[in-house]
Amino acid sequence: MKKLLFSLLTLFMAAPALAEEGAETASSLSSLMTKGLIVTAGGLGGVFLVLILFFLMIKIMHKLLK
Amino acid sequence: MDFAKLIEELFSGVFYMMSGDGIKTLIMFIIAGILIALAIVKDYEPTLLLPIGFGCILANLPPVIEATTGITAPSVLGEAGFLSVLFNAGIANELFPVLIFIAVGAMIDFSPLLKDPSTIFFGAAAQFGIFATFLFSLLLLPLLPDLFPTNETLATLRDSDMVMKLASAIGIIGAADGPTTLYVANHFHLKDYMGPISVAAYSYMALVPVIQPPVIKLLTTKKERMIRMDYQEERCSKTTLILFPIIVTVVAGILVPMSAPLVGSLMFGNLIRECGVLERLSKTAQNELANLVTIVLGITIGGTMVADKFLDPTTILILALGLFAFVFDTAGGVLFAKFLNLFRKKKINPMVGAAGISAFPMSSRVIAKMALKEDPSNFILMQSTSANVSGQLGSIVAGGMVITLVTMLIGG
Repeated sequence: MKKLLFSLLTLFMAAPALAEEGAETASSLSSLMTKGLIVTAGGLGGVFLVLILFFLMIKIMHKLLK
Repeated sequence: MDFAKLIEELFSGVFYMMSGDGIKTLIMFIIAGILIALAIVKDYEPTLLLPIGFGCILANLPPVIEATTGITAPSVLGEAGFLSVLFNAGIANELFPVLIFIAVGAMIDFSPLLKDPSTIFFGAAAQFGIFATFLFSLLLLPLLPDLFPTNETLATLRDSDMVMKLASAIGIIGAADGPTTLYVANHFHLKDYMGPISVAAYSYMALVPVIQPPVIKLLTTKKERMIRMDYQEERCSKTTLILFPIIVTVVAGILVPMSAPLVGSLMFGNLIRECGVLERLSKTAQNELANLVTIVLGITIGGTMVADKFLDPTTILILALGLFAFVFDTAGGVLFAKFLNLFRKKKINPMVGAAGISAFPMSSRVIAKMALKEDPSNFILMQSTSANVSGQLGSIVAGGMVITLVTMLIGG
């Protein structure tokens, strides 16, 4: 779980940098698919990360409010 | 006075219907008729499909020819037409999706998710179809301008930024979440494609009972569909129910700011419901607000289905890709559950994964019914409802992520 969370966090944090980097390089390479893969990896990783945080948040709330 | 001209003006609508444009109008009337029939006869999402169908009829009525200027425009469209006024007032500025989410938030009970949060991951896995379709659209859309060189609308797809924007909106259809789809399409100024995109999003929402069961059956065995799941719920206090919408808004607003309008309005509606001191507002949001916005939203969406833009190869492609997205979202949820089962002692019924889409509460009901059909004593409604409300959150976050990343990449 920790490993999964860590890798998702890394992916999520790297997404904007990847996106910016992609914006510069992809225009020269005209690589629509590169951009697509960045959106897919960042998007899916982001959704999983946010929902994992919601999961942890619910668990913490239960513990604190017990 | 020229008698022939007078007759021509008086019966301009009849002459219009006999022209080439009249045939297109007739086709649109047939499409509108199908939507209205689906609503009335089949009872498929009638609150949406009926207004959409009627809006489509209104938008395709013969145009009014202004005697002085000679400009032609359907009386309900044009600059001052009421459908244009509604579009500018509620869709062009994203107001209607936000209001709908306040109403939806007031209707959602998050307690099944709060009592058993383990199903929250299905809300993420079932967004797989969005991104698969996004990638697939990036491959297909650039081919269209060469396939239909005379089509002016499709010529815009020679621009790779436009391809990215349209692919994003098409992908989001898979979440079966109408307001988020509208939000994304509108954010990228896809007014020309708004008709087919919104019709696909809302039609597939209505077709959950038709689309999901065969996909689930294809990917699961009877034995898997009969898996029983213990429902071990944690106590869910009133404080938890009140804190949840506030914390979710803050966390989502910080991590994915583009999702803040939708998450914020959904959670605001939910807070009104759960706070316990605003029962009157909660009921208003669930009933009057939901009904009023649904009426104007439906008819306004129908108003975007103008023949010239709707009877286009892109419409068929958008409808097909939207279905692809929806099928792959369902498959994503089911396959994720099966993947988790490889490592778990207590197995999950993989059908619950399919409820991770946003169509609430229809998807959870369909899944629970399927489980009961396989085994009349297998009750998984609470688990599928929990996955379904997670899907609502997941699709909004996915919409926000797509907008953020695509905007960054195209630099707009």
